Amino acid sequence: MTEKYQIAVVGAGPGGLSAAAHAATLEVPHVLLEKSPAVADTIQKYQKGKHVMAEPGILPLRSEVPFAQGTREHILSEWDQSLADNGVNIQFGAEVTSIEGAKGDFRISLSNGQQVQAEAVVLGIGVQGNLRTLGVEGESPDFVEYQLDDPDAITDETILVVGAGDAAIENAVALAEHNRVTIVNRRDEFARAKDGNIALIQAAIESGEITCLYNSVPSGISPASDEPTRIVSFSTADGEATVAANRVIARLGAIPPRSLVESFGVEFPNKDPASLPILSTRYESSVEGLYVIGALAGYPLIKQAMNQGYEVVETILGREVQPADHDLLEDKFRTLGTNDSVDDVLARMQRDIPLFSEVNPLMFRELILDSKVHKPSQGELIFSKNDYTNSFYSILQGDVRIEVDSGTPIISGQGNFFGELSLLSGRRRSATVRAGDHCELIETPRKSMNKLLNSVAAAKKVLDETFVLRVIQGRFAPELSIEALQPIASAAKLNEYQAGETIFSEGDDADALHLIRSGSVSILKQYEGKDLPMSYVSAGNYVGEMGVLGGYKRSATVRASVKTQTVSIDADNFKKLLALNEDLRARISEVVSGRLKDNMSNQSSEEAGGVLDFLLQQGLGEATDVLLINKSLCINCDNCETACAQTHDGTSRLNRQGGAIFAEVHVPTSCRHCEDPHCMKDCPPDAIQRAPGGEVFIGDNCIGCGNCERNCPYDVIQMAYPGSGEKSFWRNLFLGEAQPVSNPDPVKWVTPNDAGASPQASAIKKAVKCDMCKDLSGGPACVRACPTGAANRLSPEQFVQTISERLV
Amino acid sequence: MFESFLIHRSMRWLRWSLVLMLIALVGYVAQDLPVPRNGGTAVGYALGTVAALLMVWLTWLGRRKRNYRSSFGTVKGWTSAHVYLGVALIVVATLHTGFQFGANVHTLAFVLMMLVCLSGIYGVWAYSRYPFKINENSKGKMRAALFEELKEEDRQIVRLVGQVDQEVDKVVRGALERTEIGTRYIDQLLGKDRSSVQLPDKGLCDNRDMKTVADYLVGVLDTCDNPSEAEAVQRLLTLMGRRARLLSRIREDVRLAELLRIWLIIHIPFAFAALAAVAIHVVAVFIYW
Repeated sequence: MTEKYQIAVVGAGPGGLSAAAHAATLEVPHVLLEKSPAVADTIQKYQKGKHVMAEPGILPLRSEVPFAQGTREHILSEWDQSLADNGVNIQFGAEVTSIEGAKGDFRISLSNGQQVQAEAVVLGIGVQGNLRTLGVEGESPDFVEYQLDDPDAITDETILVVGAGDAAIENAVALAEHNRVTIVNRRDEFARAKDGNIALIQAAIESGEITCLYNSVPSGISPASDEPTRIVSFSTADGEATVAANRVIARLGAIPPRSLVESFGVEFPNKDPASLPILSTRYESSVEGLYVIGALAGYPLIKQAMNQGYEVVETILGREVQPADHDLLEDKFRTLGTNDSVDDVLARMQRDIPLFSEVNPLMFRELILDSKVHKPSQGELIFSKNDYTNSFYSILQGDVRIEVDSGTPIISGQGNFFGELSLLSGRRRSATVRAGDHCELIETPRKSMNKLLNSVAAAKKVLDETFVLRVIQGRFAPELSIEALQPIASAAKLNEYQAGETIFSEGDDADALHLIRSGSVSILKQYEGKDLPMSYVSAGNYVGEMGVLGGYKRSATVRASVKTQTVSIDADNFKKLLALNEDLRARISEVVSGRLKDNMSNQSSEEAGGVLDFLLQQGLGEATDVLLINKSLCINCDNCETACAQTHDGTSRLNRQGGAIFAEVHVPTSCRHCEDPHCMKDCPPDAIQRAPGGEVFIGDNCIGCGNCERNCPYDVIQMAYPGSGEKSFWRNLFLGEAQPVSNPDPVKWVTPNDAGASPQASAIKKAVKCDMCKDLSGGPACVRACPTGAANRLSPEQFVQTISERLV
Repeated sequence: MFESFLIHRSMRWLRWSLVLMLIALVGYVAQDLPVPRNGGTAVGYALGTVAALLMVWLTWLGRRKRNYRSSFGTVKGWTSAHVYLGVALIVVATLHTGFQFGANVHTLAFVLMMLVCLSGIYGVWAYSRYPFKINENSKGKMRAALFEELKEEDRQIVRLVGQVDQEVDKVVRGALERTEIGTRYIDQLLGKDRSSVQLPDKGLCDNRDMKTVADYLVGVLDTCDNPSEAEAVQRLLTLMGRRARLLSRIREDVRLAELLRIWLIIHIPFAFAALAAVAIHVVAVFIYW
């Protein structure tokens, strides 16, 4: 039987719930289709008691479904209640397999064989995708699980863990403490997981703690019987095999929803997995009558999704609705002193700034919502050279003066943009910029800009081309006009290298010069058959100029120390550049002779090479500022950690017991303030920022999701309850109550609340990390508190220089 | 890249300290007095005042060190000044005494102060020697990592003893349990190994460096006729050898870390005692003057 509705909502997440509740309130015939047995599947999977935040705080909530920050349980129960109160027609276990038809007559097929008809469809299925299942005969939920909540709750069982990713390895290792565990890998190695997890599982397999079946795929499970175990069979490289087990835990990852969404006819702008479906300002996809809201539309926050659910129903009913952010934008545009409507201003921005002209209006609205609009007076400073900010500026009206080192300042006018060098490389500002006459600017934060560049190929292309032009102009020919450089820039190539990849090798023919756009490289020389690093070159500089100038062979190997992008100019084009600019040859020759001298002095020191190699392995190639401890001066007093804890709410952000040591250099577990911070990549409220001094810090709007903690490859971010703050010296002296701040256990960090009373119900764990004491005068407390001079914070340039000087 | 507190700012505080000592010495020698030089002369009072103020200021390092928000110099700078001016205190205070000693509270104050200064000098020596030795001994590992390694070693041993005779299992597990790293402070300081093991016919035996348990395992190996068990015992022996080396490294780490800070046991309490004695000394001098 086919049921017919005006609106079908797919996915009972926050967006879907809100849409369905609004439809129900308006008594519109509707259905809410949810594949799982409960609402908000993603939130259901949060750990018990997790506190859910309601960011962004400034955005009002517009929905029949209530939502305010609180525990997972509280929010879920409120939503269940709201479903009943509003009379939402919800079907659980209704997994959508296809959507066909057009506006007014969509036919939605479900995996249970049913079909639903609807005039309009709202897709709010999130980005988690569907878990991959074993799909073998005999599978039952009481025997095969796809999630492991508490490994300690299971003891003395024989368990099969299927999968070779991080989740499978972590589960297997945790379960092996009290159980007999076999991990089933369908390949002959563990390659997909993080390095740390691969080492962990290999050690466990080697020691016999965990058994591993390689090249094995489960093929069947025997029916349940009185026995506590069931027989699982596998097809392996050597034929069929069987194992008796108490349970199977399968961690096979998820299938991203994109292919499913595409099968509905929804178009995406490009193949980039991060790109979002093409949508109108009213969330309508390329299929008329099919709307996409929530995380899948690029809005990962709960409140945004709920507002969209409400708005999309209004739109479907043909009512004019101002988006919830209308007032916020209106406020933002007040600076401009215009009487135009919000939509008009947005349209003018897109018209007058060519970079944004191709951007879909919905995404542009979001971009402006994240951006600031400035109307600086003439001569006002926008940013200074060497500032560490990395926002992006577009000129809506008037012009700006870009003051480069030498020569006359460059004037840039309406429709142009600036600040892209720092945006792309993560480095300091390369020039000072001041406002010109009648200047109106849009300042867009780095995260929003990157999101745009990932989704809009045209914008990325414009930016890349401009980047190459400006970097060539800035580095080699500030006197030449952009037009004169155009042919050389168009012949330049953008290259990307993974960490450890060789850009060119010693002895190769020199064919091109590389300008490092982001990341950094190490320069290595052959030394008794080994490649030893001699030097490190950071983004904004160039390598390979020697060969191009003289037509020699490469005198050293250049290798990317982290993921690196370069702009390469081949020898012919470089010679054209030299011909255009007489001074350039002399300047480059100077750089070359300086490098030759450096090479001479560094060659003799194997030890310096060893230390540099170690530091680069510790990820210092992408660092901007790193805490190093000289072990031959360190007296283990832990005053650095105490100072950190005392100045940062009682939780030390550095762990002196952690980290690696080479010779006498110790790199403790502490933030490196990376050029392109991993932690910033996936922060839903955009709480992680870079201060003008270069400090990467977490703002108060952290929602405690833990993404940054997981994304940081150096384990320098922890989740901690807000502490009780500084203790008075005299109170401590006379009344005791010393704070436990150091802990020999490198895995677990002690926070006052771990050690003492349970946290207040309202407190949630938030991410904390080193902020380089940006708010304290005098610099980082850890360094200032070190009594012997063992602790020091250095930039890579500083330590490379000192290593070379000291050890040669 | 790293500048130690001893060479902080090209030894600025050493230079100030030398100046202070020189002034004290010249002032002391240049006195033209009808009586022997003593603490009651004008120069004597000056020296005494400077010495007392220095003592108060030197003790203040403990406060400054905990003032984590202060940007009044760095703790390293303060330590540097503390060390060099502390050395100058020896000269200034000694000259203040005019070398007049006796069995009284005045000399007590001096003796206590000297104990503090001398223990401090040992401290400087320890600070320049032991961190290096600690790093050399632990081969680039922090103590937590060493204990982690020991835990892993023990896990492997326990897994292996499951495959051998029950009696061997009991002996080896017993040896693991009766391993001591330094229960008493004096053992920690001396790096003494008081580990023991319970053997079937011999009772509780000393098991320093895992020697006894290794000998026992060799004996088991001699009489073992099961090849798979023999292989397990052989691997146990290897693991025991590794464990012994690891334990001795941990003991040495504990020992060195204790030697690095043992002087503080004298330095800190005696500093307060010296301050108290000096306060009594000052009051006494003014009352009985």
